[in-house]
Amino acid sequence: MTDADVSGAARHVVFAPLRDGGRVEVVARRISEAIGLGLIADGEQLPSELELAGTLAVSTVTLREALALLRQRGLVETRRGRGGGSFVRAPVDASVERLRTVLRDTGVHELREIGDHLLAITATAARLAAERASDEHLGRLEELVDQLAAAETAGERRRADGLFHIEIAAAAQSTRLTRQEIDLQGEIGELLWIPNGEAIERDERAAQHRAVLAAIADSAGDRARALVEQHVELAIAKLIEFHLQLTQRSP
Amino acid sequence: MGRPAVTPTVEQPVQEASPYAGEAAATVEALLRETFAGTDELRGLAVDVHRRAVREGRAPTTEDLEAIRPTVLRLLSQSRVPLAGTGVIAAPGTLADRPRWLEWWRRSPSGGSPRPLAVDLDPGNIGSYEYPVAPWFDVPCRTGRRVVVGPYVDYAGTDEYILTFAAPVSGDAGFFGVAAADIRATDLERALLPVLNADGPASLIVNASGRVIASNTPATIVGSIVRPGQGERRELAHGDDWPDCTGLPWFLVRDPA
Repeated sequence: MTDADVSGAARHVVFAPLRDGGRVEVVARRISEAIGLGLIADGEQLPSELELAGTLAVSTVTLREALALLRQRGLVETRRGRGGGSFVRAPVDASVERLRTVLRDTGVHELREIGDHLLAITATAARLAAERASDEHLGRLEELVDQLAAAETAGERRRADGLFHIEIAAAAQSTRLTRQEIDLQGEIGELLWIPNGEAIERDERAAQHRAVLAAIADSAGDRARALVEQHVELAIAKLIEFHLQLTQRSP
Repeated sequence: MGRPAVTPTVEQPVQEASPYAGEAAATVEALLRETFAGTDELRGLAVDVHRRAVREGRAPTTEDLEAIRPTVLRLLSQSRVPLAGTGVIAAPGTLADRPRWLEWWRRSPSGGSPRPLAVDLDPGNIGSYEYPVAPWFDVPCRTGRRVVVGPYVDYAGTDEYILTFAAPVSGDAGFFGVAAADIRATDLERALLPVLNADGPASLIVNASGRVIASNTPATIVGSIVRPGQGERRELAHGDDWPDCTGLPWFLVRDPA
């Protein structure tokens, strides 16, 4: 990326109109994902506020608030005066760069395969855990949800998220499901939690985990399974979306 | 494996409501005593290792801890109910040369010679063995009590379905870690089944949380949970006889509906 403007292809995928409403968080998240995935590189200038608000189909007030959030998070810097505007601040990190490459090189079919496998293991583990979890397991699972809700870095989030699912498989009293869950979390966890390009939003994920935990605590196996299925499908769909954005950007 | 059940060393009076509750209690008591006799031996040796190093004005090393190895290997080969593994686990920061360490040997289910347990001890990795938070380490560490844990899935550690019997290693030199032994859930059930009459009513042995340890019925198998109201319960390994042990009593449950 040599020019300072966001390229046409990236603009197309990143700044398509938001269908899910003009909430500030949604706008901030969309731009932050594009930065996390490297679709907008360090130093690039964002389109003008008016233009950006127009393409995202949100009001300029919403857009300004979203940019303020991104400034707070240190992802965007606003310069005044001639040649001013909003610029991306995202120093290139080798490990993040590697994850983007992995996500770009993992095909949609392969992502779907991992998703199918994850669905089979994780959802079944949740159903069995609803029958077999002891109070100690429920306590440990609650700790892990709290850890996720409070996790500041992508690494901490990945860890708390992965361990939650591994602990569910252990609560199901199954060594086989637990081993598979560990392997799957090792394979997919990093991709789900690329810094700023997180396929799942932390608070949303923590809320989903609380709902799963409540179903397990109620011994409601079918509910636990259905919730985990939704949870896995959402995450994989998002990863596939990210993958497509990355390939459209660098074919 | 065709091993005999642990022979009861104490005969208890037969209780009228459960003809073999006495036999079950004696078998469980004998099993607990034998297993903890092994960990006590390791605890004594580890306390010595710790004391000697501290007297020399230094922290012990992994090499010092190797002094317990011959005993570990003997315990692995001689126990009547086969041990999946045994050894001593150092508390984080106690050893001079490693932040975390297990002097732990295991025997594979298919036999063969004992091998040291190889685990990922880097707390940053998702597959790392977070033993400081495991109940078998945490309870002795925090409370100074012995503990019986499981059956449970020991993920990132042995990856097996086991019970762990653990005791704190503490002496004049302070808390050093935990001495412990693992028994596979399968082996423990095999040792306990003879006291659950196969032709009698549905009978189970469950742990303090109601998790089934042994069962004579396919309707409620090892690893299931039996709630307090289900069936008629009798204590095995009375709390009074094991005042310094968390995770007891176990129970004999008859006719869990």
